[in-house]
Amino acid sequence: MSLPHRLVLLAPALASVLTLGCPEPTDPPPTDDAGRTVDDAGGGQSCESTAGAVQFFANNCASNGACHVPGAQFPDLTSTALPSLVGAASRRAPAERLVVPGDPMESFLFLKIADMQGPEGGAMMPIGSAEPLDDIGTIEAWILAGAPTDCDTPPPVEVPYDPNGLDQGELFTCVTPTTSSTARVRRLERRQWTHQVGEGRGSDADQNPFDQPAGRYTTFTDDVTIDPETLDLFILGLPTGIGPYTLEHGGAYYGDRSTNCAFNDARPSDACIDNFIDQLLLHGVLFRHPTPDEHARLRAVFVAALDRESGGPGDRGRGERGVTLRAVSTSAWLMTGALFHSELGEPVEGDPFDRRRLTNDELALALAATLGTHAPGQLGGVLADVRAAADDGTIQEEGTLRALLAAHRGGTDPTRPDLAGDIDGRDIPRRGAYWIAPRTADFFREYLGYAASETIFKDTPAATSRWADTPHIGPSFSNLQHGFYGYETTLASQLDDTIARIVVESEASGADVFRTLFTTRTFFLASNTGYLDLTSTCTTNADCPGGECVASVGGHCGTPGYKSTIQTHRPYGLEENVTPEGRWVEMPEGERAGVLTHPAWLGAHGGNFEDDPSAIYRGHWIREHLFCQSVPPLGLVRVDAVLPEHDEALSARDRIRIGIEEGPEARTCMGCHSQMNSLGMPFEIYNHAGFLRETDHGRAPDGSSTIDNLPDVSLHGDVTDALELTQSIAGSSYARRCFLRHVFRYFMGRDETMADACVLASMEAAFEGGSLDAAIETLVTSDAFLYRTIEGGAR
Amino acid sequence: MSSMRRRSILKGLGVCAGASFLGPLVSRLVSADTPPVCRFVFVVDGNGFDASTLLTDSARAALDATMSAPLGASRAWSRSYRHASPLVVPATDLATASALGSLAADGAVAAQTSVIYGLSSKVAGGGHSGMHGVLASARSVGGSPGGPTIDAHLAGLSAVRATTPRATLRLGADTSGEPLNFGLCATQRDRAAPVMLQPGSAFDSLFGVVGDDASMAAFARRRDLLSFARADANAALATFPGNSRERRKLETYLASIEELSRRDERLVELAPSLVSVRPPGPGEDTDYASNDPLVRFEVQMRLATAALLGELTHVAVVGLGTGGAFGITCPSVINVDRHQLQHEGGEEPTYVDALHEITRRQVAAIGEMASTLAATPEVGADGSMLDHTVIVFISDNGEQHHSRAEEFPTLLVGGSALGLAGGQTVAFPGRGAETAHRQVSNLWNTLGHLAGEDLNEFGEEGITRIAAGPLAELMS
Repeated sequence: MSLPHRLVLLAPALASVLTLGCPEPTDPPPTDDAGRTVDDAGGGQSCESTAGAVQFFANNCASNGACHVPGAQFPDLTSTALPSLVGAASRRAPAERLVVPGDPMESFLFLKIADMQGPEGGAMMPIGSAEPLDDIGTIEAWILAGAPTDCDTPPPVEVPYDPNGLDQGELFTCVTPTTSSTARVRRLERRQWTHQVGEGRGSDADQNPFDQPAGRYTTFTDDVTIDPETLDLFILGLPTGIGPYTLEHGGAYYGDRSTNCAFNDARPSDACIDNFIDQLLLHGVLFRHPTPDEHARLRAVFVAALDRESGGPGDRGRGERGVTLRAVSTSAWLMTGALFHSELGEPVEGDPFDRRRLTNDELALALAATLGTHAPGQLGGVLADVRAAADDGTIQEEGTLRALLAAHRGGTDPTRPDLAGDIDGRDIPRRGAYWIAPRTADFFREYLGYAASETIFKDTPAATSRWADTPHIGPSFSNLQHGFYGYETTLASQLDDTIARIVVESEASGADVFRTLFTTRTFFLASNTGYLDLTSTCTTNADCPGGECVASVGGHCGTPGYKSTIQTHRPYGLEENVTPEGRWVEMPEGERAGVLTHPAWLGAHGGNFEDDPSAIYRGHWIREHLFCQSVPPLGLVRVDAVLPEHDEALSARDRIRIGIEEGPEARTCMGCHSQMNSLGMPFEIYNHAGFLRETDHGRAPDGSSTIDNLPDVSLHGDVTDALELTQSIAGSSYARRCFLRHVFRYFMGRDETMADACVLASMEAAFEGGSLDAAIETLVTSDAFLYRTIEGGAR
Repeated sequence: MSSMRRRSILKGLGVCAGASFLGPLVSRLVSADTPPVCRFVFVVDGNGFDASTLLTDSARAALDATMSAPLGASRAWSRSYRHASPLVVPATDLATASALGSLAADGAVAAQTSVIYGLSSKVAGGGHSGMHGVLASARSVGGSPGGPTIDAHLAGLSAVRATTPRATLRLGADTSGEPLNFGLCATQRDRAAPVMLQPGSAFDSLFGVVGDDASMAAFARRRDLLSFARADANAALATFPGNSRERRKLETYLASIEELSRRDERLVELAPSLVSVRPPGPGEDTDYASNDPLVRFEVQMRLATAALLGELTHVAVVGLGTGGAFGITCPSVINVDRHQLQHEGGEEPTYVDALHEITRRQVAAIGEMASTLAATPEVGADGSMLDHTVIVFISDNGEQHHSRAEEFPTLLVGGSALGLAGGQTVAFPGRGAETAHRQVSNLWNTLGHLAGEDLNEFGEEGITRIAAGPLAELMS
């Protein structure tokens, strides 16, 4: 269950919502000498209208990705900036004043929201509106009341927090080194439970109901808890996932012989029971030392279940003892400490800021969560060293934290230890040997958003490319989405492996990870020859007994299943076959460079048809993920957002131009689309599925664009295509900082605030040479990671 | 909507508890102690079924007279509509529709069966599946629902939920082998509600309290589990040092434990009545373990029927290949997966026959549910359980395999006591009729009105919504 992430502000006044068209008040409220409304009782400023105005601006203009926040669109319409509106000149119409107390019709701000600003006054506000909002009367009333901005008893106003509204320059300027995060409890993530009961992706345990609210990183914890339906389904699914301490071959019986007495003995001794409970909780459920209270409660379950047994334990727990052990394990997994990991800390004596520091156990769990979804000291797991460091206390030392991160950050290993248990073993040989910590890999998947490439429907995936009429493109592209045939990889997995190599090699060589991400031409591909007999040559099917002659790949015989793999190299535009030995391929110069030209990213941020407005999706991603500027959400759109119908003569670029940039609602549409279109158009050299276009509705593919509204003005100018744009992005320090902000968000599981400025500045310094590992280490050893405050810490 | 049509709607408004303004009408129909009942069942097909399978000869003749060209062998025809006002055709010949024979065989069911054409849901998006889109009338983005689905909305009405232990029962079947699918239903925006795909788990959840010895033992253990969890959660809260917002997470968990405990207690109260409605369980019926999703779908329908009979829920959803998992293979029909059946159906007539057979089997399962409910008197009210239950058969995708979400053919069964008209085919004007066209969200408004709610808005169509409110042509 999730509640909206909101930041409660104190607003100057009580709300007084009026509807559009309300007549002007017949009895003006009493005013002071400055023309501002005062209480009838004559004491202090009236709060009658101000909070209404603040809430109106918060709902429609100055929050939740909207524009009028500090550092973004003028004017700033956040509550603290309201006093600056009075008498300020409009930038659109300099002769006009934004707010004239007492006179809405002379207040340009009101005219803009009432659609009375005239043709020279720009778009009606809020952007995206087709007609004035119903509640603009609140602004009218506020101005009529003298536009008061201070009063005695400000009530709270809820404003959704958007970190993209922060000034990035200030965000990386360290002023106050000491900081902390708000103490919290983190509910289990879906894959955490899967892995912590020793299961892999796709298993029954993986289908547990701990889904995360979408639209944010899966590591975020705000208001994430357990509703009745989730709990019901979890309980239903529990028995399928709790092998380790219940079954002979679950792990504990042979992995921890001290527990055997619990499986075998007719009536386990008290010592045996106590040991089993401790081992179960420490290495199987809580992954920390249980409190005496927790131990006692679960022990009582064990004893009660033993008392219910009437027969013997059975051979190695296969009899009634299995039922007993399942009762104990399932109970353990419903413990609050199992489902919610604590980051509450313990008070630090003498800390001038009343901070708390994560305990050894808490730090072990938090560190493990930074590396992946397995637990420290998990039975049969790989993080025993994290558990050991927690037990001997060295985990509190910076050097130990760095060493533990380094031990698990990745490398090269063809057995792919990071994927152990998660994929079919027959798929492993088809993967690259480079691997990075699973959490880091997941970060890139979520940050770049390319997992969706496996689920978005693509009609005629090769349309407009040179492969449009090539046989078997459809089945092969399908296989690139689901990866069923030939144990070959999907586009998303190929990008996973490409990124892993970028990170591993960059760390080893000292190259810049950020720059390489956006410039590399070395991609990992699936082999398309798995069902081809390359030793054969053929001209007709008769030459291929039991198979078919495949002319499009050089005239070789294809065995059944070949259709689903034979063209998997075409999305990359390759002519030559990709053999199993040659999966690492250098992209042709001038065609692809960097992850934003990878078919997985392009497809994930592409439409269903080749003439869909994929440019808008891609531009949207770039604006928000490389420049940390929020595009107003679709919920604010109130005009009829319709593109022209599909037409042979119209390319995607044409449809966007006609429907959005030059259409009847262009003035309104471009308020938001100006932030996206120009950034996405360079990618129109690729189609919706990521194929390089050869033609585009009778014309040459066109990736040209003019960039003129980025916070990094060094990127302004004309670009010819995506390669030129991504090359520029690779060198942008602004984009680099935005990237680090996303790293912070993901690994901290929360948005950054100004209180994190010193942490971000330190991360930037560590990242100066391009080492992502160094940036993550800096984060994990920072005050924000290690310290907590019950109230008021950064959250 | 004109005031005349709204008065007609109010006149025929459903009699669920909550429609208090109907006063004397309610007291005439309902006993003094028992509030009237409303039930809703949504049977959803993944990727879509052919509109032609629901087409009776009489409806065909009526449509042919208005279309741009006779329907002929068309399987879908959303762009051929030319009529400007709803076409209402009495359905006296249900058996002539290829998929409706099973409904025609039971007169009590046939009289309460309607076919709806012409409703679009562009907001759902189309493609292979609109995911939650058609039930939510909102766009699912990246797998995340854009709003609550209609089943969740209706289950949230006290008039609908009444005293049932479970707000909504969501079941499904596909070939993924997974226990849950999150791609069809939602309780709110960005919060998908899972569908249980394993009939065995569904049986345990619903009838564990009266199942075989193993199921009953599992149910007893569950009560112990919840008791333990409650004690542990209380202990954790007693020493919790965090702030109120973090505390609320644990308090919500405790509240969830309490809710499940109450539900289980209600199941114990219902146990005597559940004994008589409990269907054969996994140990007695091999269909539970079938590798054919269509067979498991049929099991899920039987479980849903039993759940309705046992007053375990008043809202159920049963899907086949929904939530994006439409590439199912139904060996009892043909050993070709549905995706291939759709793509190659143009060249292979047997593939189209197979698709239609799958639809016939789905409708037959609906017919079985409807007949059972029709044969069961409604407690505390006149008529049968079917009279107080609306069964909706719809797809999650639209008019064709690669859908444009332009038309969602729909089958409605039951609900006569709630005010739902039966025995007709209604074809609403196509999208070309502009303001006369209607959308699936209007159908959801209709259900809301049947439940006693003045539901005139639903979903996130925004300015693309053509008209607010229910469909008068569906009301008696």
